Amino acid sequence: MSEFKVNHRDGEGFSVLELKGYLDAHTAPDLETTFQKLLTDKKFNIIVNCKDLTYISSAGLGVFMAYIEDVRKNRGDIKLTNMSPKVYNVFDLLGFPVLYEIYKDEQEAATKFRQQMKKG
Amino acid sequence: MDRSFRRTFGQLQSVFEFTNEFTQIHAISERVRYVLDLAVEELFTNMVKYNPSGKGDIHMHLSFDKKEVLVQITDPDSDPFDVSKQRSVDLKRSLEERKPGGLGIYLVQKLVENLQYEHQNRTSIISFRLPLE
Repeated sequence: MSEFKVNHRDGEGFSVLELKGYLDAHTAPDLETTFQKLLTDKKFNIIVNCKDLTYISSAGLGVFMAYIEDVRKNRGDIKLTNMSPKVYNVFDLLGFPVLYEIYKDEQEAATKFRQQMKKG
Repeated sequence: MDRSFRRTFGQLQSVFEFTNEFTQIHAISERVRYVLDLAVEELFTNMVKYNPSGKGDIHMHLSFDKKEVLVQITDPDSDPFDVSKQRSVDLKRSLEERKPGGLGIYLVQKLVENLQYEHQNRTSIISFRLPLE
């Protein structure tokens, strides 16, 4: 019931993480492992698709906080998409929409990355 | 409904099974269930994180009336830590200035009503209410 899964796929110039299920204090380390691998592989343009993310707690938000600095230092970004209102509400209560780019869907985030890559 | 949980993050799945059972019996909305899960997780993990070697299990009590859900979480062996005390989280801080931690209790304080804390004979009791509307 409260399972969590991360699916990783690569687009052109960016990576996409699809999150599914419950991102809580017990499952957050799974997402950390995925971010660590992306950084090791020097993949700094990351889209996190939250379409199937049913739940996030502060432990899940902590993972995004832990990696965003390293990602941006390497001229990349973590862009979040497809959030349900319930999940967005938790981000919003903690003031995250000011700190992270949040898009309606994956396509919008991909377009933004492409524009940024053109500008160099 | 009552249930006890060992002091490990691995128990979270069982905690959510417990809240799921409770919300299904009482036909509680998805929105309220989300807040219940979030508040219970933040308080439970706080107890586990800061008091992993405490004796005994952490006990949860959920009850229901027509207008609200009542929650009580008890740690039978703990130093005092008043979760109802106002925490300051500066939401305008930049990323460089922000550090993880403290956000969970801040969220609980934002989302629940009548958050109360008692500590007596090493027992911590946290209680709160969730209105259904």
